[in-house]
Amino acid sequence: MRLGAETEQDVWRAVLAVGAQAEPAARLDRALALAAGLAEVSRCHLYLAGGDGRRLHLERTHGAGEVQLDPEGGAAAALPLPPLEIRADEDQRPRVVPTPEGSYFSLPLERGDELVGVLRAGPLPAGRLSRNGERRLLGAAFPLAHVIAGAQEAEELRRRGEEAETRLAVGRRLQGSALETGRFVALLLRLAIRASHADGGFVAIADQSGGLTLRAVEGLPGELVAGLDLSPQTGLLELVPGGGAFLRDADAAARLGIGQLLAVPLFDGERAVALLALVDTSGGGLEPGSLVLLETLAEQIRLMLDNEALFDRFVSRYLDTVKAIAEALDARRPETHGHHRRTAEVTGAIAAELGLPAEERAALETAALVHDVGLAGVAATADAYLADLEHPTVGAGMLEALPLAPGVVEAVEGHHEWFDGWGFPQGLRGERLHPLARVLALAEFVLEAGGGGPLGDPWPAERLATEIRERRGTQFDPEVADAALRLLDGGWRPHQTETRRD
Amino acid sequence: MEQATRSEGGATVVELGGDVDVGAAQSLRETLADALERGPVVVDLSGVRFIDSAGIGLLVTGHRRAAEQGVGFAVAAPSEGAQRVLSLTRTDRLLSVFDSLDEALRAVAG
Repeated sequence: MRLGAETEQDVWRAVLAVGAQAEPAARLDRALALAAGLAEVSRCHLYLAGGDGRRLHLERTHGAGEVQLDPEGGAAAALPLPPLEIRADEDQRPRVVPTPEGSYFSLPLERGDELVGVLRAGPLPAGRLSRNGERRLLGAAFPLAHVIAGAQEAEELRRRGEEAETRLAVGRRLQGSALETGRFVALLLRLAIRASHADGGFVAIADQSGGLTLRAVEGLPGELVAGLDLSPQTGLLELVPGGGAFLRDADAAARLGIGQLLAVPLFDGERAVALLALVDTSGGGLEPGSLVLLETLAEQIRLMLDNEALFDRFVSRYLDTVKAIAEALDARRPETHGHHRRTAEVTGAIAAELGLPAEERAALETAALVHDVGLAGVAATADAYLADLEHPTVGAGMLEALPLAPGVVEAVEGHHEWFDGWGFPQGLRGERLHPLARVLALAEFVLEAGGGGPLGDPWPAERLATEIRERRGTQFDPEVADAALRLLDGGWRPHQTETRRD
Repeated sequence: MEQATRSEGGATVVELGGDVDVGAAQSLRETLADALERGPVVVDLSGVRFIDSAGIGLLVTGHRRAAEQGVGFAVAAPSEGAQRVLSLTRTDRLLSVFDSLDEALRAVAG
């Protein structure tokens, strides 16, 4: 930019143009180069706030690799390094500071009450900045703070996106082993049945109250399985959490056609976590000589179930991470704050109006809470248009390997599709578009109408209803549109403050 | 299942043999209930070939009833097969199990 004659607006414009750089690191480099130019100095150092808030560390420098001519001897000499760390309380106001490199102008960069970092410009041959340089640098402090904070946040999102990708890769491997786990449990159960001369058996998982849920069944007649009462207080079996397992109701067992039943509790430490039951129905009896082998098989089944529990915990934590990334995306701008949560509220209202079953409502809520997470994966893409087009696919990719409820991944991938096939990214039409995606697509539109995005100012409810009516059957599934219209007609006001992002 | 009941050392000794399972449950339930009405009970498992979770369940029920009534209840001299089931099902932690009949009798008498 031209130096000297520019207005404060020009300075702001120049700084904000730096903020449009795609790569966070490039934004910082450009910001420092620009600051050096504005201040009419050769070097600029950027210090960013660390974890404790009391110290700032040197993040980047501009011009530090250069050499200067020694005015006395004429020989080239490398400049000394700037301090690697400075104290936040010493740089709360713009001032000139002595450094090993000579005098520097130190400028705190603040966004609201938050100290984003400190910019040091120098060296200052006359012990101070030029009048114009100081005026321009002080004028640039506010936009610089925003650009640098934005670059930091984008970098953080990129890093978390990468982290999620890594976890996903681990998840894919774990999922494979979880499927194997199911097969192994069934195999071990079959081995135990054969070894004990039983006619069949089952493995059940115990909850904290001693209630049991069937996990695998082999060789038992359907009516016996259907009649198995495994409830904690009155069921066929009693599982004492710290003790053992036994048959509570022998008469009920006899009525089910059971001649002998051996229930082996599987313990994790002192807690019964599951139960292996071997059943004789033919009258042949179980083989007492097999009991040693049963002990080994039971232990192996327990290890398999442990593996499975580990995978479940992994899935749950991974999903939490994805939700947290989505929330972090929302928090980047005031107008998108809480977008995912509010989307979940809107989809919840429409799903209830549609009378969707509880499982589908839960799946829709999960999809709503993460639907734009793909934006984190494309945050560093230079072309914002491409980023917008790709984020449903990227988001779906972050979830596809997980054993989530049916429809979650499809809803994330399809939340910008249109019912008539004119949406993106795939142009899926009508029934090919997952029903949950159709609800999510309408919810996204409803929130867009809250203002602040491409649809302009917030729409009153009447206009929103008119627009939904007009797009019924084209952009929106008619049934979903009708549900939203019924809600609006009944006084539903889904977006008092919400705005859109993507 | 075979069973025999006798009085010994101030207790009722219920001697079991063969397979103690679902099919034997009703008979054993009645035997244990009768015995508990008379006072302390020792269930001798030395002749048991196999005991399943139904048999174990009746022993635990007998143990609990006896505790409610304030009388002794013990399991004595389990055969190798019975001992293995007690251990495998961890019900040896819920019952008073003694290696010999004499020890069990002393325990319920005390």
